[in-house]
Amino acid sequence: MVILLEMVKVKSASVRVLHWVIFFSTVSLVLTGLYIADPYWFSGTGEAYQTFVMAKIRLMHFLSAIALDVAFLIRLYIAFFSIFHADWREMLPFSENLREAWNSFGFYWTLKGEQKDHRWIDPFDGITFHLLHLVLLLQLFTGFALYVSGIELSPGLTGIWARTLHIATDWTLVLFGGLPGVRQMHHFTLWLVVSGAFLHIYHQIWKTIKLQRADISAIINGYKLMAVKREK
Amino acid sequence: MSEVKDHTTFLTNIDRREFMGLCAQISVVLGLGNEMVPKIAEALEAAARKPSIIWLHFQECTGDSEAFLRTTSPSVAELVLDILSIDYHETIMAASGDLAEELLTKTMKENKGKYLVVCEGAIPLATPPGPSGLKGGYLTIGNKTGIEIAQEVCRDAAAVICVGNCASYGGVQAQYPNPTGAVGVSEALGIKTINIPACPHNPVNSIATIVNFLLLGSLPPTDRFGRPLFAYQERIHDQCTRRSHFDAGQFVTEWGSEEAKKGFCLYKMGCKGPQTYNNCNKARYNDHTGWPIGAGHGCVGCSEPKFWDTMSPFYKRLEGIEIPFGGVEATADKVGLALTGAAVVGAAVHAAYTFGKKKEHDERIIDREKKEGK
Ligand code: SF4
Ligand code: SF4
Repeated sequence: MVILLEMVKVKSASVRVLHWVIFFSTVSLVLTGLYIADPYWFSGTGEAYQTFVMAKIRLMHFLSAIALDVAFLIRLYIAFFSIFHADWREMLPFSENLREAWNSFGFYWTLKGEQKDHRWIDPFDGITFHLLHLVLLLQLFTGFALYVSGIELSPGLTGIWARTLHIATDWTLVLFGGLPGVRQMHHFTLWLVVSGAFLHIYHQIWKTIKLQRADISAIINGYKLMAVKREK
Repeated sequence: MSEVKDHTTFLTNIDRREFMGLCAQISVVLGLGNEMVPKIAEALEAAARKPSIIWLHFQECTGDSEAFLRTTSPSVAELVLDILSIDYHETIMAASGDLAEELLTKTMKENKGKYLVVCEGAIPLATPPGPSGLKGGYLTIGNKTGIEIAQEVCRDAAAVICVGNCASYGGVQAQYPNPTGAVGVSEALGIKTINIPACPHNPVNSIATIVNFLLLGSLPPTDRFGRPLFAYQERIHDQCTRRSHFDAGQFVTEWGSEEAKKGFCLYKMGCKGPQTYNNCNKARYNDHTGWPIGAGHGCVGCSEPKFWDTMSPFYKRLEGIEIPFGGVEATADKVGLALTGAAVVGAAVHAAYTFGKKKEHDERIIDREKKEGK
């Protein structure tokens, strides 16, 4: 089969920027998170009043978490109200999406049959992104539940912030059995994020090589290739 | 303090200075200012014959009574006995047998709706095997089961105060697999109790709760586990004397090491201070001289519900603790790493298989052209 490919714009600049904000903050969160869980890499030297190894790493963890969460929320907004392309439908596991995603999964292992060219997120990606987002969301809620446990319910702004977080995250304490359970869930979910991110990266590289549609360039310069003409 | 009237004449064995010291301590624990100290003194003194307190023992080790009687200067114990009118306390009262039972009934009748019940110990609800088949029969006192006694005595109480983790949430006897079906008093009776958990509880907190009741006629506000906020709204980790070493990244990694001598943070030795709400460092034990982390031992989370199940082993960080994963016990790290390993192996197998294979419908690309999208 002979095909004609054409470069089309598939991702707006804001979506690309947000993707990389999420990527780098996730890397930072995983590294700092592993240190906080088990601080064995290095320890502070000198007097305690002038050494802040753990304090700085925790600060980095919190700042990265805020960056990720804000990027996440903006991305959520864009999914519905983008002026370029609102893509929330593609991330939902509707029945048709599910069927096509299942077909793609089969194709990835057998290379049999034809793959439709999708300009926007294809159904398999859509559903896996959806799952990865749910994992990140779980990390967000358990993370804030741990964070707010150290904030006193004082009057004033701090208290309002703490109360808001309590309202948003206290269900995790009930669900996972108090702070120790939430702590372990937060740590376990880290591995879900790591393995999920790994599979995502592998999948995109594989697609780029095997399907010849420049999928990776979509998240860098916003363009990917699409078949416009197919001839026998 | 000159305006304080001297009501202490009836306190034969206590000098005024010690008494005011206790009042000041209670004021600190309750988060009140200096100006409240005389008020506390007045409330304690005016309460000379009230409220009547009934102290019940269930499944426990009497550690909380010991703590209540022994801490601070001995005069405080006397003060508490003289002023709070503890009418029934199985360990310390002189009466025994029928006389004791009479005393209990009498106290309950005379102070109906006004007396305070202090509970120590968990209440077993399971039925022991054997012919008796008595529900809650693992604990009987004077031919009554623990749950019967609790129901009877707590019915007409003004308030029920649980001291220690056992009365509050079941404690060690409620640990998995919990053979006697032990639960805390609140759960056993389905009522709201004020809980002063810890192992043992710090008597300053229970006295402060009672003082709060005497001063304001109401019980202090609590968190969702029934713990008064004045003592349980801050984590151990946030008031810890070793916190600066935590923030510095300086940790003890071996007992008796140089780091341990320097007083480094016990996080890596399994300290559960970051998961535990209590005021140990502020109130302290043993005449307010020391507390576990000060003495070099990590917090075990003794003021948290189910701490025997969720915080143990006590000398391991939570990451090292095994949790059930569908039948197998493994640490979160092991399962997570196995998962990540499986992902990597899966990807490698996939790559090896698919990169050596041709697509069924192979494409030949004849041209690429760039066009602005949208
Ligand atoms: S010793 Fe425990 S409570 Fe104290 S700072 Fe270290 S981890 Fe926190
Ligand atoms: S430091 Fe922790 S384990 Fe020790 S008494 Fe206080 S709450 Fe209990």
